[in-house]
Amino acid sequence: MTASYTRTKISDSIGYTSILDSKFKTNTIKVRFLQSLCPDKASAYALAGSLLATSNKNLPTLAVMSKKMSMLYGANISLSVSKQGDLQVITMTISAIDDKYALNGEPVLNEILQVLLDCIFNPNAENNAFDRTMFNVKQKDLLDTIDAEINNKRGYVIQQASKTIFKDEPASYSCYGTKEQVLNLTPENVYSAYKEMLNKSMIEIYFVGASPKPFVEEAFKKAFSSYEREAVPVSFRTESKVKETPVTVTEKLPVNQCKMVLGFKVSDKNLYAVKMMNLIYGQTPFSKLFANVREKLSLCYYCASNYIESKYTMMVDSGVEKENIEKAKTEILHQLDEVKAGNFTDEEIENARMSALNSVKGIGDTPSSYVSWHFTGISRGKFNTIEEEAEAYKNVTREEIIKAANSVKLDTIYIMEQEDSENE
Amino acid sequence: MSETTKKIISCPQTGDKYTYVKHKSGLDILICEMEGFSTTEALFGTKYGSINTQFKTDKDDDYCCVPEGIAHFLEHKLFENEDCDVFDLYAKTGANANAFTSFDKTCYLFSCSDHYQESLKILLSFVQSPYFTPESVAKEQGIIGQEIKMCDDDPGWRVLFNMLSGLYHNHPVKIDIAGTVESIAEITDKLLYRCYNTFYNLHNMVLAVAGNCKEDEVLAIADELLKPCEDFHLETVFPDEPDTIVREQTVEFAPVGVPLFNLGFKCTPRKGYENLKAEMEAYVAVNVLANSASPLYQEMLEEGLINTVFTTDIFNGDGFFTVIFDGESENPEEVKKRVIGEIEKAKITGLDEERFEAVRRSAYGNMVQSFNNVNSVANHLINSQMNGVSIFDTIDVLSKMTLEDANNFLRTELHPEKATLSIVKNNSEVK
Repeated sequence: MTASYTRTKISDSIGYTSILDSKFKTNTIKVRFLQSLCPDKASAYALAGSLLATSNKNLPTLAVMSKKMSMLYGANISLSVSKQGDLQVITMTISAIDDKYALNGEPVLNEILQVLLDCIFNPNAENNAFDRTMFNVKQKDLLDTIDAEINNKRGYVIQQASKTIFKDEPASYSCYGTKEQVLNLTPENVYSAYKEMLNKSMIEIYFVGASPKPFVEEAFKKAFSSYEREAVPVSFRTESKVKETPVTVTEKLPVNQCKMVLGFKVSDKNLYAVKMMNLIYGQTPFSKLFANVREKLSLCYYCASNYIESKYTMMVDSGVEKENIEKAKTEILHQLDEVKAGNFTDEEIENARMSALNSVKGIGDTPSSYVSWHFTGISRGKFNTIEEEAEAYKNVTREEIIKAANSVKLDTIYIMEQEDSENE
Repeated sequence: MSETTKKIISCPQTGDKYTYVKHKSGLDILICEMEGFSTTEALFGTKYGSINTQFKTDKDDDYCCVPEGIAHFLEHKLFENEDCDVFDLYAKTGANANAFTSFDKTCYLFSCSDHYQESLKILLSFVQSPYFTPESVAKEQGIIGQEIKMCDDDPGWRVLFNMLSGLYHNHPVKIDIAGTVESIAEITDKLLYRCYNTFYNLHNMVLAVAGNCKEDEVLAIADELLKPCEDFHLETVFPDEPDTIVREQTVEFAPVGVPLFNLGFKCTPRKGYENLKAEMEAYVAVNVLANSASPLYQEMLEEGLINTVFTTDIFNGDGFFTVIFDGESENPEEVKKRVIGEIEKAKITGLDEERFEAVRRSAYGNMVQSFNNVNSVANHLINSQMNGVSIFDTIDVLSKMTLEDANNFLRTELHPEKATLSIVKNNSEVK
C-alpha cells in the first residue's frame, strides 16, 4: 500500500492536488472556490454553486442528472457551501467507484470527470442567464435552507452567537446570505455571479484515487486555459478583536431546552499549545468541562469547547435548564481558570496528546479527511506531513499550555432562552 | 462448552472478505482486516434496544416489564466502573470512544489509530463489569433529562416519532429511545442489574472489529477476557400489534422553517434473510417511484411542492417495517396525495424498467463504496449479524432481484389505508 501526494499549479490562482492511496476503491474530485464572505454577494455565489451541481447543458434537469449518476454505479455529485473564518468556501464534489469495479467495464472516472467539467464550464444557461426552471427550484431550496437553520438548534445558536462574537467582520454573516438577498436574485444576476466566481475566486482542485490519473489534471488545465482570470487573493486567517467588556445577548424561543454559547478570543498564536489547551479544557470526554459540568454537576448532556483556528476564537456550547444557566456559566469559567492556573496533571497533558495524535494518524483513511487535511495546509500557509503534525503536538510543554490558556478572554455570552409557551 | 470455530465469508463481486468466529464463550465475533487503513474500529453490542421492554429467561417465571428508556439509561451507566469513568481509561490509549442505543441494539465502540489491543481490552472488560448504585442512577437522571429535552427540540426526531405513533398501536417502536423524564425517574439500580443480567449475556451479543487489526490478536484478547456464560434462552415479546394504523394524521407545533413531514406506510415485518430481501425490494421500489430521477420528484420539485430535502427510507426491525417518505413542504397533504397516486398507478402499469436497473446499479455501487471506509464496514458487520444475515447478502439479494419482485412489494405492501402523515410546523403557520 502506498500513499502519496503532489500539488501543482494550474495557474497562479489554481492549485491542483493529487492524493494517491492504493487502498481506495473510489475516485473523488473536488473543486473548491474561495472568496471573502461578502454579505452582498454570498447568496448569489451560493445559488450559482448549487445550480452548477444540479444540471448542465447536456444533463439539463435534476432528473436526467440523477439518472446518469445512478447508471454510473451510484456516482455522487454534491455542492457544499460553508464558512471558514472570513471566507465563503464553495466546494463541488463528484465521486464514484473505480473503473475496475464497474460490472460492464464502463470508464466511470472519465464519465464523471466529463459531467463535472460540463457542470462548471457548460452550465444549464442561455443568453447569460441560468435556466429559469432550475433557477426557481434552487432559489426555493436556498430560501428553505435559510429558514431551516432553526431546525438544528445547536447549529443555529452557534450561528446566532457568531453574529455578536464576530460583529462587523465577514465571519458574522451566514454563508448563504439572507432571505431578502436570495429573493432579489434573478437568473441573470446569478449567472454574472457564476462568471465572477470562475474569474475571481481562488481555486483548489483535489483528486483522490488509488492510482495516478494524469488526464484529470490535463482536462482541468485545458478547460481553464481559455480563461483570463483575475483572481482576488484571500486571507485564511484573520484576527477578531476582543471586546472591552463581554457582551451578553439573549434570544427567546419556544423551546424545551435553553442553550448557551460562550465566545472567547485567544491571542496566543502558538497553534499546538492552543489546541492542547482546548483538548484539556473541553473538547474530549475526559476534559475538564465534561468531567465537571456534565459528570460531576449533571448540568448538561453536552458542554464542549471548540477552537476555530481561522479566527483565533474558542467557543463553548451547552444545552442547559433555565434555572441552571448561571450555575453552568460559573462552572465553565471556573474550569477555564483552573487551566489558566495550571491545575491539570501531567496525565491530562498526555491524554490530550494521545487524543490529538489519534486524530492525526487517522487522516489518511477517507478521501474527504485527506482533502481537508491538505486544505488545512494551504490555509496555514505551511503543509505538514502527518508525521510532522504529530511531532508538533509532542513538543508542546506545560508552560506553553498555561500561557495559551492565559491568553483566552471572554468576549460574548449568547443565551437562547425558553419563552413561556402558549401551546403546552 | 463447545470450541471456537471460524469461517471466512467472502464476496465474489468485490473481492472483500471477513472472518466469522463463533467463540467458545458463546459470543459471535466478526473481524475484517483492511489493508492500508490506519484506523481500527470495534463495536461490542447486545441485541437490546428501546423496544425490548418485555422479556423472560429460563430463570424467570413470568415476563418482566421495565420502564421506557431503560436500555439507553443502562448504556450511560455502564460507562462508570466501580473506581473510575471508562472515558478515563480510554484517555490513556487515545481512542475515541462512544456508545449508542437504537430501537433494537446497544453498542459500545471505539475507533483509534494506535494501541487498538489496549482499547479492545478496555471495551471487553467494562461492558462485562456493571456497577450501579442508587447515587449514580440519580446523577444520570439529570444528564439524560437534558438529552431528552435536546431531542424534544429536534423537529426531525419529533416528526419521526409522531409518525410511528400514528402507525403503531402497541409496538414499543413508537416510544422515544431515551424514554421520558417521568419514565426514567422509575429506574433503579436493581432494575438496571436485572436488565443487564438478562441482555448482556454473550449469547445475545456480537463483537465486530474492522480496519487496522489482526485476527489472531483479536481472538487472543477475546480468549483472555470473555467470561463464558450460560445460555438461558432469552425471549422477548411484543404486545399484539393490529394490522391497522392508529390515525391518518398528526400535527405538532414547534419553531421550524418550512413544515417537516414524514409519510409512513405500515408494512409486514419479517426476519433474517426474508427481512433483508423485503427491505431491498422496498428500497428499490420506492426509489424508482420517488428518487430524484423520477418524474414524480421532478414534477413536485418544479411545482415548488417539495424541495431537494425530499427523500425515502426503509425503517425495519423486530416486529416493525415502515416505508417512509420524508421531506419539507408547505402542503404535505398534497404530497401525500401525489405519492399515493403514483403508487396506485405503478401497481397497474408496473415500475419503469430502465430506472429499476439504475437504482439497482446505484445500490451495488454504494455497497462497493462502503468498503472504502472502516467505520461503515464495522457498523455493517454488527448490524448484519444482529439481523441474521451476512454483509454480502445485500449484493446477493440485489443481483437476484427482478422487476417483478419490486412490483410485487408495491402491490402487496403499500396500501393507502395503511399510511399516516406526521407534520411539524410553526404555530403561526396560517397557510
